[in-house]
Amino acid sequence: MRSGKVEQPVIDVKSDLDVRLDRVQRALREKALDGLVIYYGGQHNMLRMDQIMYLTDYRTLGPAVLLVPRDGVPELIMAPVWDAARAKETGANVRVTAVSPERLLQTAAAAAQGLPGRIALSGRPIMPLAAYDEFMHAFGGELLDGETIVTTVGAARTPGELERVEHAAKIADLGFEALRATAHVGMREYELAAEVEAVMHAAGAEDNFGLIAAGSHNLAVRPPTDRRLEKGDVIIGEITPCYRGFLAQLCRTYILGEATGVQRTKHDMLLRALDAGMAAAKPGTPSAMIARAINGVIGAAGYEEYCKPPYMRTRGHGLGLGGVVPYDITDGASPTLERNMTMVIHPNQYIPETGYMMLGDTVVIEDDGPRALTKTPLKLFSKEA
Amino acid sequence: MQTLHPVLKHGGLFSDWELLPRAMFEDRYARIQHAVAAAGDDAWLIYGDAQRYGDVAYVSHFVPRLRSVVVLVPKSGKPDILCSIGSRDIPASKILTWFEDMRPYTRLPGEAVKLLNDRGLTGARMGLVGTRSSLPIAEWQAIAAELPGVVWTARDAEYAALRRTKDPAEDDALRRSADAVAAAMREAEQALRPGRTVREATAEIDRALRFAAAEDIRILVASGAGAGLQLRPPDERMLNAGDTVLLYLQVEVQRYWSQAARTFVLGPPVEAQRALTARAESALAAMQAAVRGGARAADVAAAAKAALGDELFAVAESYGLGAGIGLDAVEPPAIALDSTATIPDDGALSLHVAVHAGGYGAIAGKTLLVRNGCVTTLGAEPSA
Repeated sequence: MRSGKVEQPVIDVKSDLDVRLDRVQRALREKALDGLVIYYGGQHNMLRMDQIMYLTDYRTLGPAVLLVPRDGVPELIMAPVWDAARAKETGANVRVTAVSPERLLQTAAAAAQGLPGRIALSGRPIMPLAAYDEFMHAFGGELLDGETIVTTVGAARTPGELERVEHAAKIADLGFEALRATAHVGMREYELAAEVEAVMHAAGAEDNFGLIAAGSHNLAVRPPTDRRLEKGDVIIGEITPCYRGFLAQLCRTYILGEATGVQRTKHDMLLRALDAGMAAAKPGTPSAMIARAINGVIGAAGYEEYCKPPYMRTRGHGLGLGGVVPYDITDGASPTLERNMTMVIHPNQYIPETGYMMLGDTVVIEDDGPRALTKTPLKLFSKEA
Repeated sequence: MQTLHPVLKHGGLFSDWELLPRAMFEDRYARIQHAVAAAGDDAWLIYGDAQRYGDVAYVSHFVPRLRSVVVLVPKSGKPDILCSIGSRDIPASKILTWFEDMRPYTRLPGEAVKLLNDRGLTGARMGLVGTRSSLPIAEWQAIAAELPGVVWTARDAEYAALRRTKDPAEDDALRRSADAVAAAMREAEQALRPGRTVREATAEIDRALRFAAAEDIRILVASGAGAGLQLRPPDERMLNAGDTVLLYLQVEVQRYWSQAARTFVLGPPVEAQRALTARAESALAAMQAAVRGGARAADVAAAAKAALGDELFAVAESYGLGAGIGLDAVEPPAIALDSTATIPDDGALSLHVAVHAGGYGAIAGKTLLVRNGCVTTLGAEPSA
C-alpha cells in the first residue's frame, strides 16, 4: 500500500465549539425562540449539514437529539450507551445523556418538555414517520420550524472548521496522487478506488464521498465497478475525503495513455471556465455568478445546450460539514457569497467529443476572492499505459 | 452492532449475475405479486434508503449509494423503481438491478404521485413496506395529501415473512462476504503493529476488503494497554507494544453483509488478558452451540449469560449479542434475553461478545449459516 503523510492540524476545538454555540444561541434570541431541538438520523450525507456535529464535534453512530436552550448548556441525547465515552470527550460544552436506541426519542421528548416557551425543531425533513410520531406523541406540544437556524449561522467557517477543511483538501491531493501512481491497464475500477481510499484513510480521512470511473467515453462520473482499465481510458475522479467531519473535494481527469489533441483542447476549455468561475467568486456576489461565468465560457465554445442536466449537474456546491451554504451553485442560485464560506467549484462537463471530463477545486472565499485549498496542479493528467 | 454510516457507498458497485441470478429475483418477484394479491391489494410500495435497503434489494438487487429508493410492485405486470439520482446516473444505476424501468427523482413526492397516476393507482389499495421506519414524515405527508383516494395499509409483516424464505444462492453471497471478512482478519494480523496509528492499520484492512469488492465497510476498534475501552470508529491513537486491540468488522459484498470480531494482542498476552479473551470466545461458542432452527433467541442469549456470569454479561449485552444478518446488517431475530423470536430454520446470524473487566477487554464474533438443521461458521474460523 502506498502511504502519504500530512501533518495533523492542532485545533482548539473547545473554543471553536463555544463560538458555534454562541452563534446559535444568539440566533435563537434574535428569533424570540427559547430552544431548538435538533434531530439527526445518523445517515451521514455530503449534501446535508450535520447540525449535531457542528455543535458537539460528535459524529453520531445512530439517531441522536440535541436540545439547545437559548441560554445555558445544551443536552445531547444519544445511543448506543457504549458510545457515550466518545460523545463526552469532544470538548463540547454539552451534557451527554446516553440511552438505549429504544429509549432515545422518549427520553429526548421528555427532556424537550423541560425547555420552556417557544421551541423549534430542526431535522423534520429527515425524520422517519415512526420516529416523528413517537417523538411528537411523547412531546405533546407544538414545535416551530427551526430548520435553517444552524445552517444560516454556520454558513461561513470558523477558524477551527477551516483548518479541518484545509486538512481534508491536503488529503484529497494525496488521494489523486495515489490514483496517478497506481492506475494501470488491467486493474479493476474498484481496485483503483481502494488504492486511493487506503492512502487517504491512512492520512486521516474517516470517510470519502468518492466516485472514480473510467472508460473511453464517460457519460458522467459514477461509482467504481468491476470493469478493468484499458489503454486510453479517461479516468475521472471526484475525490472527497472527510476529516473529522469536514469534507473537501478534488475533481480531476487522468488519461491512461497519451492525451489526444481533442482531449487537451476540451480540457483547456474547462480550465478557462474554472478561471472564469473563480474570478466571479467574490464576497457579496450571488453564487449564481459563478455558474453563469462557467456556463458563459462553455456556452461560447459551442456547448450551451450541454450546460444543463443530464450533461452536468451543478457548477459546484457548498462543502464543509456536509452540505452548507451556498448549496448547489447553479445559474439560478440565490445565496450571497461571504468571507470564509467553503465550496467546491467544478466545471465538470459532458462533452460530445471526449465524454465527461472533471476539473474542480475546493476553495475558501476571502476578501479578494477564492483561495484554492486543494493544490493538485490544474491540468489534464496522462501517462503512457 | 451499531456502526458509523458513511456519506456514500464508495466501494465497487456492480451486479454479479452469476452469483445471484436474475431468475432468483424473478421468482421472488412472482412470490411478492402473489402476496400482494393475497392481501387484497393492488400494489405495494417498498421504500429503502442508504441505511436500510434490504427490503428493496430483496426484490430488485438495487442498492442506493446515498439517499433513497422506492419500488412499486403491482399485483400483475412489471415493476417500477424510483431512484434518488439524476437522469445522467441512470446507466450506472441500471447495472445494479434487473428491473428495466428506472425513474430518477430529486423530490420523491411528486414523482411517486406521478407514477401512481401513470399506473392508474390513484384509487387503489396500496400496501406499504419500509415506510414507517425510514420514509421521512414530510415526504409521506406530501404523498398522502396528493392521493386522498388511496387506501394505505402497512405490509411490513407480510413482506418480512417473504424475506424469511431464503434462496440457495444467498448462501453463496453470504459466504463470499464472510470470506472477505476472514481474509481481512488475516490482513489485520500484519496490519496491527506497534508504531503506527489505528487509522493507518485499519487503512490496510479496509484496502483488503475493497480489493475483495466490498461495497460498504464498517470498522470498530478498541485499543490500548488491556483495551478495557469501548469500541469506536478508527482514530489516530498510536499502537504500542503489548497493546490489546479489539477489532470488529461488518462488511457488505453484493448487497450481503457479514461480520466478525477478534481480539489481538501486540505481544505476549498477560494471563488476565488471556483469560478474558477465553471467556469471550467460550461465550461465543456457547451461543453457537445453542443455535438451531426453531431455538428461542432468548435461549441463545442465556447461553452467553451462563458462560460469562452476570457482570460480564451486562457489558456484552450493552453492545448487543447479535441478530439476523443478510441484506441488512441487522435483521430479525435479535439475540437478547427478552426476545420472543425464534431462530429461523434457514437463515444467517451474527453473533458477537464484547466484554471489559479489570482494565482488560476482549471481543469475539462470527457469522453463522443455519440450513436444514446444520449450523455452519462462514469465513475461516478465527485463531486465538
